[in-house]
Amino acid sequence: MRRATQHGRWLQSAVALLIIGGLGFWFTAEVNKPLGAEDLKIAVSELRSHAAEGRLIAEQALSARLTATFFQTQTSMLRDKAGAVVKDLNSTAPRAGLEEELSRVKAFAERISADLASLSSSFDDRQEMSRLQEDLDTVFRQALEMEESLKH
Amino acid sequence: MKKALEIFLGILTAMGGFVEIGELVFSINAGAKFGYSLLWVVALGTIGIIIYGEMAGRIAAVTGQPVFYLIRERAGFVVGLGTLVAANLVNLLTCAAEIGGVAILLKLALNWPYRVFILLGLIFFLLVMWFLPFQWIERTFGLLGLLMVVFMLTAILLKPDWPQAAAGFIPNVPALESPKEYLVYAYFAVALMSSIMLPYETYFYASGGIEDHWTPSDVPLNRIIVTVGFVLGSLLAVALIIMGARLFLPNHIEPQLPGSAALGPVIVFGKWGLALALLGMFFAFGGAAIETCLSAAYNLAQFVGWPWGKFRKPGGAPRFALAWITMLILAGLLITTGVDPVSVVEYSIIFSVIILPLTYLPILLVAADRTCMGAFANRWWANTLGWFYLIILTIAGLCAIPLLIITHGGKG
Amino acid sequence: MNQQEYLDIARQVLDRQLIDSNNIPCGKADDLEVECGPGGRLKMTAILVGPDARARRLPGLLRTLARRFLGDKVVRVPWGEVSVITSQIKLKSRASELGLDGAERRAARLIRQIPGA
Repeated sequence: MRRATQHGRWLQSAVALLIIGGLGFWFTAEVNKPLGAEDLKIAVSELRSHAAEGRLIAEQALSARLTATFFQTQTSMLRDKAGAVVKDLNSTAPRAGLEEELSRVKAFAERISADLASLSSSFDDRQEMSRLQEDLDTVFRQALEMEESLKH
Repeated sequence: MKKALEIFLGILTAMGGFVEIGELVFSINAGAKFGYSLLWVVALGTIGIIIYGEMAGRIAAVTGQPVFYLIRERAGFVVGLGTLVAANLVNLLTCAAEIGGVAILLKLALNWPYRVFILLGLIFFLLVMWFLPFQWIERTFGLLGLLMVVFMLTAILLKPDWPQAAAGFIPNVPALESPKEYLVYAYFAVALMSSIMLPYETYFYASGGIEDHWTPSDVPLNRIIVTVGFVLGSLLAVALIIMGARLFLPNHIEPQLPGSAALGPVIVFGKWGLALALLGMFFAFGGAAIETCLSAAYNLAQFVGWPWGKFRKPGGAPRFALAWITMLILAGLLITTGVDPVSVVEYSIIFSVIILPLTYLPILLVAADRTCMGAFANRWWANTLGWFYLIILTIAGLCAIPLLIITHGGKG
Repeated sequence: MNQQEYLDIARQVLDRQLIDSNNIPCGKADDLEVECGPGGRLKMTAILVGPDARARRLPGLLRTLARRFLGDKVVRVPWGEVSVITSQIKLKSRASELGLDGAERRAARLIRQIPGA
């Protein structure tokens, strides 16, 4: 009886250790995994969404439907989101053959991030705002195209 | 007359307290990704929460026992303890996300630093919970949360394709581009279901019944409040999905921020829409922050047998009071680290699916037990539906984490 | 004491809520004490309440941790103190008389320093 419980305790600890070790291993492998086509697609679709939202916000601000505070805060939060994508892309190496796509995505990310940053301080400058709206529209379309091409 | 007013207020409170930050984000994104096709999940989840909310409320009214008494008695000490730990972890995450959401909303209105608003929000909640009696808290936040109705009006004025929307209420799987997309669809179905049936709602609702000193004569009141209130509340989720489908889907936006949700009312109503949307979300998230925090204290106190309840003064239930104060501060600390509230709530919703069966099984067993419930025990149809949902939730619970990992949190 | 002819102690006593003579919750029936009388008849002697009574029911490592962090206090409530068993267990005395209010009293001292308590 006593031996059986001791046995059980060892087994329990061993199983627990195995699970924790396995999870840790899986997690580190996941973090250090090189950037694949799938990760790029996710990054592009996030960027596409941020660009589209920036465009929509600019459009609403141009028709005087937003307050300055909301406009500034929401666009700078979007910029932070785009900035996070840039940081993610910079921190991992791409899988072989994806270098060119990666640099294109990075270019999108930086352009969108810069556009959103300028947008957030453009509330009183209608001309600048509509210029940025157009630029975001252009990047948005390019991103959408690239997203489609990455799907296949 | 007094009873009628109580029912009316109860319904409105249940409705205004229905949506929180996680449900808001998942509903809008469900619409933005899959149009109207996930509406059936809202219907399924709403019937589920009505069935189990009603049972938990009925048990509270008839036997005076809240949910965690039942969990400990029926699931046993060890399994019950596991459920308690998991449930309160989820409560902590949800509470943190709601506080973060409130801080973001305040920032959208005033643009001071985010962390200042976390601190102010925390102080505000502490004062409200310390000084206001239970019914006041519940009703103030519930009724002012009704400002969320602006999203319903928005959905209607965005002129949805009604026949297509109606078709979405029939369980369906739309034709999608790739196998991966089907997994994302499944992920959203599970997440939406969970966000509607979040476990804290049942814990809080049943404990609330005891706070309000319900007796067996309140069983019909409970039934009406749950049915009408939750159905009306679910219309808010429906409206958010429609808004996603009509506004964000064609614009290729997958909103990740509470502020993005306000763009719907902005397009339809301009600045007034913005103000109403921000206020509505403030009270909806704020109410949920308080409910999750109190729920954690209820759960702990009920599990170990301490005096509990807001109807007692803090001095009369000191460990309960310490529990909710600690919970609120922990949630505040967690969100001050700068983690994104929306990601936090996404995780908490996915982990919730796993504890739902453990929460609901004891409720079902007691509600069906004639020796406990006497004439108020479940009829055959309540038992059938109860078991049906238990099976669905168990399946959803088993799929939840694999889906979360495979779909990168629904991103594809 | 109870209308029924028999009492299922595992289902109707263990893990149930205890309330004192003033109807104030004062812990759970965390564990039970049973005595083997003459002729092998089992007899309920006490309800055990407190961190240690709970810890005993946990598996290996968790038990050690629980004892370490939550203490090993246990209060013995004699079976004769039980007045009525419904969905809760009502006791004949007050929590303070049974020694069930230690932690609650300490917490109250702390919380009463805040205005409005």
